[in-house]
Amino acid sequence: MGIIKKIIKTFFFVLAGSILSTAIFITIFWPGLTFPIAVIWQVIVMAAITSVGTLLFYSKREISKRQMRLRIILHYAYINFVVLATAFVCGWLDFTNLVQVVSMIILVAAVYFSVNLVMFQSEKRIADNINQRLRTKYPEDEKQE
Amino acid sequence: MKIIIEEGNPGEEDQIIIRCKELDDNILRLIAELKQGQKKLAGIKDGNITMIDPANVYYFEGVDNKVFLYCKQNIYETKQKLYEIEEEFKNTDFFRASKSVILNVSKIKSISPAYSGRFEAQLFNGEIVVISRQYVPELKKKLGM
Repeated sequence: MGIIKKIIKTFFFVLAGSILSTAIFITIFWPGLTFPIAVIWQVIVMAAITSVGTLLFYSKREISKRQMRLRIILHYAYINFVVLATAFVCGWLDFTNLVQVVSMIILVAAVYFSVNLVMFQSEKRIADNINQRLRTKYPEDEKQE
Repeated sequence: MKIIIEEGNPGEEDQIIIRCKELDDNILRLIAELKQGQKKLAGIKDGNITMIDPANVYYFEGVDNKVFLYCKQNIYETKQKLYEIEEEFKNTDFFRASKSVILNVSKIKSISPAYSGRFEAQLFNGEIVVISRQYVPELKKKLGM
């Protein structure tokens, strides 16, 4: 998949996730709250900026596992920065209230790492199945040149 | 599978007739192996040409418009293009693992997740090769999964 397609796909995932999270958050904590349409645009812009972070995973050559780990950390830092910067500019959070800021960081971390963990577990299952099949089909005998 | 060997008439050309219900993957692989027979690959190293049995090739890699074949310990250059190799070995143990690599599935010791749907294949010679997300289904197909 081309990087542009990947960014667009990420944009829609992030947008859907952000709107869903906002709806749940507001329904639970501020059920009577009304907000201007500008907030929806702010979320859209935030999703767009966040999805550009996908470029961090772009490489012409295949990235090693170690490099990928480093890029995931950078990507997580980028997401945190975008979310907090948007929250600051748009006044979503009271930055004098440390609890609110820390809560937001924890929320981003929880979502980011749980999504990665679920993906990793699913990939591990696939790897286990493939390894089992490899062992059956090609017993572990060192091939000679 | 039943194997019948019939003695031909004197002067008659040797022939192999395959009688099957359908040309499934196993039959196609068998045909490819029969066609390849004793076919060797010409590997160039230090100006010398070495004929290499494809079964001893761990993987082919395209680097800067050159294609290299990797054996257990030695690396040779080949004048064949990567797409030609892919076509030639499509019904064998070789499969496209990434844009620049064609990997011999029988040389994979194990695989492990490498994030974002990619996997790292550890080969019997200790090398590690990345399998791109879009080529994982091809690996599964090779393994009959």
